[in-house]
Amino acid sequence: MLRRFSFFLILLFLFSLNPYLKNKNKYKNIFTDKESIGGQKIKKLASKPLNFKFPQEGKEYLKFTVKNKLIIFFYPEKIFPTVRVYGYIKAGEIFDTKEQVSKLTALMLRDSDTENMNASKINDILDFDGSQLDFIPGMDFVKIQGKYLVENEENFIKILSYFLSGAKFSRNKFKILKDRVKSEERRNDDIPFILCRKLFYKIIYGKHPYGYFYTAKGVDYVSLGDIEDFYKKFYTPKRIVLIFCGDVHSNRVISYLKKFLSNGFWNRKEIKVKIPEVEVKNKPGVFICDKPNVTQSAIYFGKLIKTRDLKSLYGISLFNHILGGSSFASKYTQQVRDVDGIAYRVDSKFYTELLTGYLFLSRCRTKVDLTYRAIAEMLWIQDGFINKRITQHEFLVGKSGLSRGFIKNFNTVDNILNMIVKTKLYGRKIDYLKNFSRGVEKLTYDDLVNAAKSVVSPKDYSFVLVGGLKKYEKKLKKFGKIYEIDEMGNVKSKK
Amino acid sequence: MRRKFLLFLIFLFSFFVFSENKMELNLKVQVHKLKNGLTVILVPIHDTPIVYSLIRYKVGSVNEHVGITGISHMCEHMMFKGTKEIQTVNYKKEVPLMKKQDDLFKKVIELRREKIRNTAPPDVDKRIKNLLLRIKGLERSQKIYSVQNDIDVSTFSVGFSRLSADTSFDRTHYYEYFPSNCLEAWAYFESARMKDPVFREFYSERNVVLEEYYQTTENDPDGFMFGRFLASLMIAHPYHWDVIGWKSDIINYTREKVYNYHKLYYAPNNAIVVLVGDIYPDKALKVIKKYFGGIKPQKIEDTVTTVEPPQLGEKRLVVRFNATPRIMVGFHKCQSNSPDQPVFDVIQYLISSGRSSLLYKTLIESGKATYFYVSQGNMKRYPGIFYIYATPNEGVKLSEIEKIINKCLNSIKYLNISQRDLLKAKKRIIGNLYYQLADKEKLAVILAEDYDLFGDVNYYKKYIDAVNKIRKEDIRKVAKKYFKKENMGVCYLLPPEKENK
Repeated sequence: MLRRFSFFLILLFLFSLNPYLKNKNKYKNIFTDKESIGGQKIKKLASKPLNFKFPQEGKEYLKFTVKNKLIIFFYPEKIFPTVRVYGYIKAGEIFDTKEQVSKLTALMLRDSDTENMNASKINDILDFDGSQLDFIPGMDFVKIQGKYLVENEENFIKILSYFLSGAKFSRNKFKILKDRVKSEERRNDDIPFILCRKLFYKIIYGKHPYGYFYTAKGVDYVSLGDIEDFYKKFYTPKRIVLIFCGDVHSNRVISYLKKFLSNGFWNRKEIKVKIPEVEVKNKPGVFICDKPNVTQSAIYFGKLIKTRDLKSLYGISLFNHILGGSSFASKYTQQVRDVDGIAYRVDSKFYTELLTGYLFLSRCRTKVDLTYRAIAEMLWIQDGFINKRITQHEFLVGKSGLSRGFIKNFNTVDNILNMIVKTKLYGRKIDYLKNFSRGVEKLTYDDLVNAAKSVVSPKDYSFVLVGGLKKYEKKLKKFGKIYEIDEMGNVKSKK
Repeated sequence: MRRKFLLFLIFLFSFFVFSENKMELNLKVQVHKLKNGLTVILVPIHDTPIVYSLIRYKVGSVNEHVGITGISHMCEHMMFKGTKEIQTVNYKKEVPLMKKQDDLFKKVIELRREKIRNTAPPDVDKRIKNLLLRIKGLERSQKIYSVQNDIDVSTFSVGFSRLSADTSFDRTHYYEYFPSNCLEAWAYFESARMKDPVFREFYSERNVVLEEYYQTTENDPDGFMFGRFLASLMIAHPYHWDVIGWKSDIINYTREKVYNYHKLYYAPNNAIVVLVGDIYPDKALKVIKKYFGGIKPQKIEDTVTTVEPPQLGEKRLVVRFNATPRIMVGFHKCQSNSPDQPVFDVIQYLISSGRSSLLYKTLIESGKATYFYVSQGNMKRYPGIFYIYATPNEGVKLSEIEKIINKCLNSIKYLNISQRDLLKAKKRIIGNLYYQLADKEKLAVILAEDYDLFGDVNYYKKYIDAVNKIRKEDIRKVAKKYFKKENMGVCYLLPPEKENK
């Protein structure tokens, strides 16, 4: 008995010597109130107020509504003899009349001939002028991105107008595009993280257009007639917003657009289109796409969010900022990457730039044998917000980071104008941007906790994993029912 | 009112300049050299209240040698681990804990060496594992005195953003945006990590680098292929290894080695600081002098003496990876201060830039390939490689793609390029340069790089002149000089043989 007791005393003594064991709970807890000397200095040195006035319409930037409600924004800036062009066409995937038709139309457009000029002439002019022009498919909008030197303005706007008003889609080019899209998709699937994203969206959004992705079958199903119909129906003046930033004169640009956009375009019929609402329904489970040769697993998990009121948006934005949205300053990175060293990148996203159904997700890549641990740690951190392990200091630092860091969106005039236009396109008032920092600053600690509570619910999450994970299924089952899925997102078996 | 007047003046000025059809930029670039050798480049642009900062250290993987490959990249990671003041509440108490970790790691290295020599005890893996666990325990103990990710948390909390870095073959860049009221906070923090960084969390961060290696090399067919292709083309020069380094070197870095590396290369006389945005040069320079001026210069030794020997024969390589097939065709080329460099750029644009380029027409428009690009690999200080990458459409063989690429290069060598095509390539190069100059981030990179490689922030003007002077004969001459079999390497990436059958 005495021997046992003395052994216990020795153990206790050793325990007290080892700071690691002594402070186990302290160091294991990533939530802290500590502030470094350097951190205090940085705060002190950055205490002067920033001289910033929100840009005003009619002053810093200009807005014009021309014929049939085509909207054009300008942000003149005459430092460089260049103009950057952006555009949003309400013709994204959400408007798909048939799976993948919006994407194929956008991709097809830039390669197409037009009524006034064939593709090879267009490419020759754009290349000769050193101009750039692309149509990029997206979930809600097809984005226009272009650049030109001031001296080539007329050529650029002429060609942009030809594409918007008189594209001619050829059968031969459509066949080549289809083959390219199919091959490109196979190539994307070689990267587990890209494949994982695709599968996650498919599972989360189900049959809603946001969940569509290219499949050979789907691509073949779209006809040239579908593309032509979609183009005529959705590429209309009212559905297009154009942005010009740089050394630009609004009157000149507008006169070129009026000159080169055809009558057919101006007179295109506007059809009322109802946006298909996302059904906010949880799809819980662990969906594994097993890839035996992949040594690093790709992880996506999360769920759809219903809320749309401003205070909740600010709250969830702050929660996401502290959790995994602020890169290296986030709790995810601190724990999973820097304390544990088990991932190179780990983050969370709260997507509000969607016409329907907000999305909250977390993602990471780690060695396959560490998959369970990485997810468990991320969930443990999420739980730290609900159970108030997040400290007052962290709340204040996070709040300051989100509100003061909002200025990063104003780093170029291009970003400023794009942000303003997108805010309007997503149905919010400019006040949302103007008051963002103030709205975040007003949040209380309880608002943060409540925001976390409205989002965090691991039992409702869809966990989508890609990698050589077969032998880890037993452990991963703790997160939910296991579904084995193929590369198309079809469930092969339930466990 | 003053602002409008200023805009009016700028307008008048630009009108005057452009009326002569000359693309002059209204950029006011100042270059200063501090007494300790630090180069400071300041570009005031007051369109938004933000400043972009770039610090270029003239060190990259080319300064490494076998045994420490990838250490420049590791050093970049460690620069985010704080200083004697940032990220700590008691630096002095951290020191003995780091020493203990390093002592234990010396034992790990010894065991690994024995393992490589096949003289290790049978339980060597277990011993290594235990030692690494003890190191991990000590790193966690250290956290009592450190503040996790304080560099990021503290700077983000006052409005910094995009705080990051990247390492390349010839240089390492650190960059961020900060609101213009944070100039002094920026100077304090960047000078502190130049002067006395503390490489805490060394061993866990090395695991992060390993994860990056798995992500970019082991599980990425393009990264894997490029690393192997480069190693087959460059056999002697330190461009032989990719920037991430070899895995066995990554796992054996010691903190001491990285400190020594930092001490050698992260000196003010080996760095260029660029600030672009809402700054007032006099004030900015004063702040920079206050914080960076006291940092001692180092004697920087140029360690690169190896010259890549001539290849003397075509090289062909097949790598196996569970992915769709792809191809790289590459050639040895000159460094960027060679008179051949602008000609290479014109060739690159002729064959690959825009939809009217040769390869776009023959690979994409023809339906043969899904995707392609041409790159000069970011190897600039020394002779590097020029390569073409392509992924075929389903059913098209890699050999067919190779033929198309060779045909394209032969047409550059032997056929008469039209004057319009040549002019088009030149205009695209110059156009792209202007677009980059109009982007604060790219402008900072161009200015730092031009000053580093050519000693002149206005080098882009000379470059434009050089591009404009290129004739068709120059293109043919350079193409014939470099695009020849004995200077060429071809790499096929194919799925593993079993699956292929």
